[in-house]
Amino acid sequence: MFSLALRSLRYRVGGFAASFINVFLGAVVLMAFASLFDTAGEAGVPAADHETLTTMGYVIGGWGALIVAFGVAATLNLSVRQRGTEIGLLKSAGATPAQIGRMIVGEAAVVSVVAAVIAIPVAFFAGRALVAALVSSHQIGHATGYHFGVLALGLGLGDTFAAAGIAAFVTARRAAALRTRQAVTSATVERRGLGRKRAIAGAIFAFAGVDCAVLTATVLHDQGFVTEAVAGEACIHSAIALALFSPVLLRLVTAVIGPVVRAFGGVSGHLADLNVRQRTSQAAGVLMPVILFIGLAAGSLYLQRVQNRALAAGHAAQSADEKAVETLNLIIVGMIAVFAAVVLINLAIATTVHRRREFGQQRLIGSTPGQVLRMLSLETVVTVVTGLVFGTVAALAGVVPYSIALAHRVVPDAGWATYLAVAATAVVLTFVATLGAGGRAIERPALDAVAVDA
Amino acid sequence: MSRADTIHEPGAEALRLVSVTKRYGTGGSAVAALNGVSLTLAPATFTAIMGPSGSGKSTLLHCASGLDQPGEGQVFIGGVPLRYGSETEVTRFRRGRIGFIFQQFNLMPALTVRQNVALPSRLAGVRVDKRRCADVLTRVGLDHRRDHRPGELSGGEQQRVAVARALVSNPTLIFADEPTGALDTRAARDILALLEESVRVFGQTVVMVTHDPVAASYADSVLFLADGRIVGRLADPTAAVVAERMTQLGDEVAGRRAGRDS
Repeated sequence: MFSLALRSLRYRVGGFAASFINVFLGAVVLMAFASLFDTAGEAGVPAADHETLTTMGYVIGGWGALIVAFGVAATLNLSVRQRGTEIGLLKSAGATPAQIGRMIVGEAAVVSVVAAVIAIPVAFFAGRALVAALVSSHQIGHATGYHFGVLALGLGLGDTFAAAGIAAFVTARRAAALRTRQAVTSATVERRGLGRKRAIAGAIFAFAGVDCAVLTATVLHDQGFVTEAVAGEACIHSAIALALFSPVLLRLVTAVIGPVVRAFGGVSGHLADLNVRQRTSQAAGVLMPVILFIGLAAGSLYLQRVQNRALAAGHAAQSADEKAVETLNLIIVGMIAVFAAVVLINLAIATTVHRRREFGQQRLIGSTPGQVLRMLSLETVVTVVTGLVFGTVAALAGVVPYSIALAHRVVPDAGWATYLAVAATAVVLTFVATLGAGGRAIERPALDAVAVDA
Repeated sequence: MSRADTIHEPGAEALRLVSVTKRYGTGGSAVAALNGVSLTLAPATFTAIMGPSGSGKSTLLHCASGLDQPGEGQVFIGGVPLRYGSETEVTRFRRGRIGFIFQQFNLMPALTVRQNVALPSRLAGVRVDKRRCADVLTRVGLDHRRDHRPGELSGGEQQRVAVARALVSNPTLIFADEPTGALDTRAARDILALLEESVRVFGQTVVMVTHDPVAASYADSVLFLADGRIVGRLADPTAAVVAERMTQLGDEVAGRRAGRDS
């Protein structure tokens, strides 16, 4: 099955590009931060610097692996789902579920190894830039020299492969579970509702999110870093919970704005509404990174603002530790934002490109290219509105309790500009990726588009 | 084109092709899929187009229906020349004039049977006539399945939905590209009977590409195509005669190709 994996990789390099980018970026970040351990381990590094460097390494190493695993899982899963027919054919030709699983893990392994190896030199320079930034912001001393060594490679690569491995394993299990008939027929009769595991996971994260939010505003309201960290977790857990519930949320929002889209969108609105209702799981795929992106980016940025405001109100300056925490926060937010954006763009493009045939069919039976694009835009509107609403809910889950704890006010006095910037980024990314791919999908003659994967 | 060609008696012709040529590829490697094909089909006729693989059958259908643009020549639908502007213009022209039935059904998976049938009208911005949809679905025997989705139907049923979709806007011309190619004998017979009924009862004109002599025997006449040219016409075909003619044609083409290659 490994040789088959190699052949299928060579045949469809494009399909794996997103997984590749995810692993590559992940490996760069994880190795760059793991190199902080190497740097801290050098002889003559002061104890304070040692602590700053290792703390940062641990925090980013842990969160980073989680983010990378999520990103790779999302992209791999998509590439497998799109090859449902191919997998069905393999099965009907006699491949066992275990063989399918090995093929997918094999593909993921090749992609991961290539991406990680290419990432090594990039990670070296990224790590050096990181240490330089820490020095220039006075978080570590000038004397501490950069070192990229065994720990950077060992921990960074180990982390990357573990994340990619988990993602591949989960995807392979899912692909192997596809029933042959189901995989071969083009029928898209999709399962309604959430899977049981997903619902349970969602409920656990939702509970954790609410728990953290309540703790932030009550018993932990004056615990300094702990308060901030718990508030941050309220955002993260809520965002994950809402992302897991995204098909349900999308259905809810569609029930409300679907009729509006229908009323104002004409036939394109009618089709958009039907499509979102019928293939909630595809649309929800794009929704997940939108919720995560808005929830985590807006959440973290506003937590930081609330804190800075509170300090300013008390006429206190930021301490060195507070400065370090801010740096860490911003790095994590940046990382999450970049990964969510990569996943978002990838999902938006892949989902749209995958519908090339459907768009072709639609054109053959009398839809103009303009009608197809309008339909796609309106579908995206529904997804983006849902993402904005629930991403904002996730952000507020941490920000409101933190504002209550620090400033004794429910609505943080922190301005709208940052939120608008985050929201606008999510909206622009989703629309540009979806409509860009849609435009390209309808560029070729409808007859060709229909013949492509018939 | 001479002036005389543009003057026509309305209703006297459903489809006319005037020296339609279509080449694929460029330069020396260009292959002519259609080589100066001219034909006229009267309204309310059922014509089958047959020919060996690569004879240009599907290309002919695509050019005649506006799905593809010929390199040279002209196509008239009901006497009106097909103009090749943007895809949007051609699509608007096709609406209400042309129905198309594909081998692979091409139903929209997210839509129910009824929504699929109503889609062309909706796309054209015409009010959906619910009665007409129901009538057409009853005619293809699927009114009881109207709220199912294509994935829940058999191949034969899906193709009947596609036929209903092609019929609902009451087009003058119906093109069918191997409509029975993916169906079993029984389902194929249902589809052919529906097409025949469209011609006999509703006066529509059907042009069907097929490689099945039995399917062709439902037509009033069969046009034989080889290497992008019309090489014969057979009126009141029977399956046996069509099969014999096809075997002959296959041998001729193979002989010509072998001679050309050596």
